[in-house]
Formats: sequence, structure tokens, C-alpha cells
Amino acid sequence: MSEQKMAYKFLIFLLFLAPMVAQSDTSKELYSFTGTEDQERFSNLLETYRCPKCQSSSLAGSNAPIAKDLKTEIHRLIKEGKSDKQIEAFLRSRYGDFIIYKPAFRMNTLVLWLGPFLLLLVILILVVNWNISSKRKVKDLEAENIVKAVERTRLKKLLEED
Amino acid sequence: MNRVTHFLPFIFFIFFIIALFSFLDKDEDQLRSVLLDKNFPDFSLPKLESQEIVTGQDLSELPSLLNVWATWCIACRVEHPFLMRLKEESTVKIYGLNYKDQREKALKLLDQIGNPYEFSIFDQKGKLALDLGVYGAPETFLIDEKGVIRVRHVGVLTEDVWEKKFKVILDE
Repeated sequence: MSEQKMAYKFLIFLLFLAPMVAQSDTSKELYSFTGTEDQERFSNLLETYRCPKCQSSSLAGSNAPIAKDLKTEIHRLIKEGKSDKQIEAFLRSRYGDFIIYKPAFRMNTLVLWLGPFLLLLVILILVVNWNISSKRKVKDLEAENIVKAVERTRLKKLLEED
Repeated sequence: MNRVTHFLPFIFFIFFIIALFSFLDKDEDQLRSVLLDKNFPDFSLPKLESQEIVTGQDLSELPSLLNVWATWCIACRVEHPFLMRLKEESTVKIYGLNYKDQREKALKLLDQIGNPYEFSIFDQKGKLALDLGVYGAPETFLIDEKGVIRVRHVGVLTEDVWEKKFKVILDE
């Protein structure tokens, strides 16, 4: 293999490494806390809330200005000694249930939580039903065969008696 | 009986498709505001036009609109002519919420294209906007005579939206 080709391959390899640079999490450096516990809480909270602007990413993964504002706000609330519940109440009173990735278990989210299990139950019932009915068919067939066999022997006997 | 059970999966499938289709129609971009039918949040911020501090008391001509805008907001330019028309034709007063903007730039723009607002609240840090659950501009709120938020619209305010969402409430 020529040296040039090797060099190309190496460059392409480097290209694939490029995303590694993007890994560094800047949010941690921007928001300082006194204790590591609060730092951890902060990181966790950013993962549990959704960015209102870019609706398929968490606050942690979003660079939208509104996500930055909310990060700053959460940072402030933690520093003020607010509990996770209080922070959730703060966000929910402004952005609604939408802001929480994991939906609350309430009347209007019942279908969301129980729907899959209900569907599973229905499917299970159907499968069992089909199984039973097909087995019954086999049994019926067997019974029919037995009756036929009995009748055949009876017929044979009658013919032999003649 | 047997026949019905055979068709069950198909019936389920049909229902599923109908359910999915009905969700398609919903406007995903419009988050339902939790602030609907709640009092307008308290605030104390400077006016855009002067350094004077304004509070909820200064939104005195109710019912009124509060329109979130900024110079960096392209869609706000789109709805601007309609706001100007509203100012001319409607009795409803319009207040502005200048959102995360620079004062000079904002004032210059209003000078150039016209000012539909009684005054604008200068919310550089987005504090009031955050309390309102604003997640983009433009957004328009209708505050009724009791100071209660009755309508919230995210996106460009058009004639159609005005008729369907705002006028209905105002005519009550």
C-alpha cells in the first residue's frame, strides 16, 4: 500500500474520531456549587426536564436560550436551598406537565401508563382463546375418528354376519 | 362468536389508526399554557422607552394584549403590520414585552417600522417571560378586565388567529 493511501486512511479515521470532542459537558463548568451533592442534583434535574423550545431534548442537551435560562433558574433555586419538589412545582406552574419527561401518574395520563398493559392483556386473552378453540377442534376430530372406527368395525361385523 | 373474535385484531387496528390520525391534527407547537385563567404574574421591570419602573398596575387599560417581541425575532416582523392594524381598528390596547433584547436596537426598530404598543416592558433577562412560560417569540396573551390571562398564542398573530382565538373571548 502506498504511503499516500495510508495517509488518506488515517485522515478518514481521524474524521470518525471528531465527535469525541463534542463529549465535554460545559454545563458543569458554568454552574458552580459548593457541595458535590448539589452538583449531582443539578445534573440529574437537567436530565429530567424537557426543553420547551426543542421538544425532543432535555435541558442538559439543549443550547436554546430558554434552556439556558431554565438552567440558570434551577441553579439559583438549588442554591437557595429549594427541594427537588419545589423546583418541579416552579417549572410546572410555568410550563405545565410538558416540561417533565416522565409523566405523572394521574387521571389524564392513565391511558399512557396502563394502555400497554391493557393491550398485552387483550392479546393474551385472544391468544389463549385461539389456543383453546384450536385444541377443541383437534379433540373433536379425534372423537370423530374414534366414532368412525367404531362404526367401521360394526359395519364389518354386520357384513361378516351376512 | 368465533367470527367476532377473528375480526377483533382488525377492529383494534382500525381504532388505533383513527386514534393516531386524530393526533396528527393537533398543533404540536402550541403548548397549553398552565397560566390560562390565572392572574397575570407580578413583575417590576423598566419601561423600554424610559428607565421608569412599571408593575402590573401599569397595565391599566384592560382588557389588553401583551405581545412578546424582540428585534432578533424574525416572525415578530411578520405580525407587526397586523399589530399596527389592531392599534388602529380595535379598542384593545396592546402592551409590548421586549424580550432579551438591546434597548437601543429595539427603540430604533420601533422608530423605523412604527410602534403598536402603549409601551413596552423591557425584560432583558427574560424574567417576566419565564414567569409567563414564554418559550419563544412572538407570543401574545390576552388579559381580561380582571387581570386574568384568557388566551395565549404562540407564533405569529394573524387575522385568522385573531378572529378564532381572541375575538371570541373578547365578544363574550
